[in-house]
Amino acid sequence: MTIKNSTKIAIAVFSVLYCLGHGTVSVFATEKLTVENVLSADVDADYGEYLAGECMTCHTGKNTNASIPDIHGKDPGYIVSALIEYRNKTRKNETMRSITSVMGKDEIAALAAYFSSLE
Amino acid sequence: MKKLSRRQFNLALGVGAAALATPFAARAQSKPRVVVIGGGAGGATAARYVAKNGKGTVDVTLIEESPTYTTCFFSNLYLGDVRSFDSITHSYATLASDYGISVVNGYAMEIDRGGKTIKLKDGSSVAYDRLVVAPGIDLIYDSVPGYSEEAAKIAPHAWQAGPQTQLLKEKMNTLQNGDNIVMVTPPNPYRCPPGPYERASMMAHYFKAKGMTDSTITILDPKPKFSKQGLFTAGWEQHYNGVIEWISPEVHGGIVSVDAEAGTVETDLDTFEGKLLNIIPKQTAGAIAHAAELTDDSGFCQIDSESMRSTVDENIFVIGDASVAGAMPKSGFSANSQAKVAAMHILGDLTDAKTFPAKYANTCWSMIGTDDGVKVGAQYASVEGKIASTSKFISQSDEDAATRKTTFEESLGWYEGITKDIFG
Repeated sequence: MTIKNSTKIAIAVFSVLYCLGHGTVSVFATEKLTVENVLSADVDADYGEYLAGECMTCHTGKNTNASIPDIHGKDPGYIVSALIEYRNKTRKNETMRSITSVMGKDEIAALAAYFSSLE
Repeated sequence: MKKLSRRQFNLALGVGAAALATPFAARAQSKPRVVVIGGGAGGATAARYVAKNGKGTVDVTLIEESPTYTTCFFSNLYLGDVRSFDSITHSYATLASDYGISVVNGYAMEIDRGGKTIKLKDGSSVAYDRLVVAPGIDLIYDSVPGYSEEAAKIAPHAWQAGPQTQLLKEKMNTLQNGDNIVMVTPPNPYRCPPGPYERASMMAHYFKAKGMTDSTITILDPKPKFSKQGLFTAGWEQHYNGVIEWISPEVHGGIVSVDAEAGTVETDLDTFEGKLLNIIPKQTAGAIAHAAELTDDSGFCQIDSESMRSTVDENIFVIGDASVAGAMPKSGFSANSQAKVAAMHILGDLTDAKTFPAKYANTCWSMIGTDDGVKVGAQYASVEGKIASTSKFISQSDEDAATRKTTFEESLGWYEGITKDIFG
């Protein structure tokens, strides 16, 4: 069964209004992602370096406190799957769920490439 | 004929944006100079990110009066005997040694915006091509009648971390069982919205640990509601039943005056007596922001939401507590986040570095009691010229003890991470 375009538009308009009504504007939450399609995306290394700044506030690297996992040098597949799980809300942590809710394919791909390249 | 400054010239021709788009390297011979005023969570991060991501293409100077920096965040944990003072105090040595940043121990008095020069208290001057102004807050002492800088030596505010925090702790340590604390909290907007209530929690935590079962904390608030109110109120009942009393302005009717020597706070309702007073007055942007006329009627600085660039001077970026950052609270985390957006645009202006749409973030963790942490946070972006929240979350009131412990432990990891991200 296909959904008529008018229905799609109505759903989109409703989603935007729903988000606005809750004081937030969500732009990425509806994009479906898999580990494979993220890993095959083109990566902008500069974008990865910029985006990583947000992560670095906590994941600075070589942390002695185990409550924040060290993600530097991790396998890109692991980073992508973890971020997708937070985004799908199948992995626990409200901070990470919020951060990944505004990420799309390009953001996750760029971050995975950047962090896996670090020591 | 009067000579026009570059800005006036650009404005007259309407080519400000075009000039900005030209890489600095094409216009000048020497390395571009980036100067940062203020070595806190915003300023030190900006200096470090410009130096780190600039990879030697720019000269970075950080001007800071104090040789070390004590973080306001986690200073309440010091008051509660959970952290040492040393553990919340940081040096600028790594920024100098590992990032090649010139750390100037001085106080910026004036900014000559036309000549792009900063004048320091010792008479020396520093030239810049791009300037980051990150002075944090100043306190408006007389916003609380009877309070003053002098009175703060008796009734500390401890809202700028350092000697004031140590003074408040020394005074707490002299209290006997049955002695009370009276807090006056600030009106919005102020640094660290949940901070005063975490502080009350840590004072109560200290009383509990010392067996001071007859001592109380009274909070006289000028605001009818406060950050994480439900979580704090429930936590106070759980950990410190009856110790903390929060009094809203509808009940006390307004602060009439404070007498630091007598230890009294007079309100419309009653006069409250405390062996120790903790008075946190109204706040404004740090003095240099006012001196350079970067502030508006609010006392804070308007910025472009895409870049943190001052709306009154294209060569200046204002970050952290001194800025008006839309939906973002004034916090160390916010300042650290804003610094990275500013650093990206500074390198975009001065080198051929790319720029991307601004993304900002904040999380405020608060410790209510032993192994009981809560958090509130959000992601932000520039939406229709304002920094707006794109996603947000808050700890739930029905969380189990294990979740609260995890949140508290996460805050310890965050502190370690962010202080490395700020100071290297």
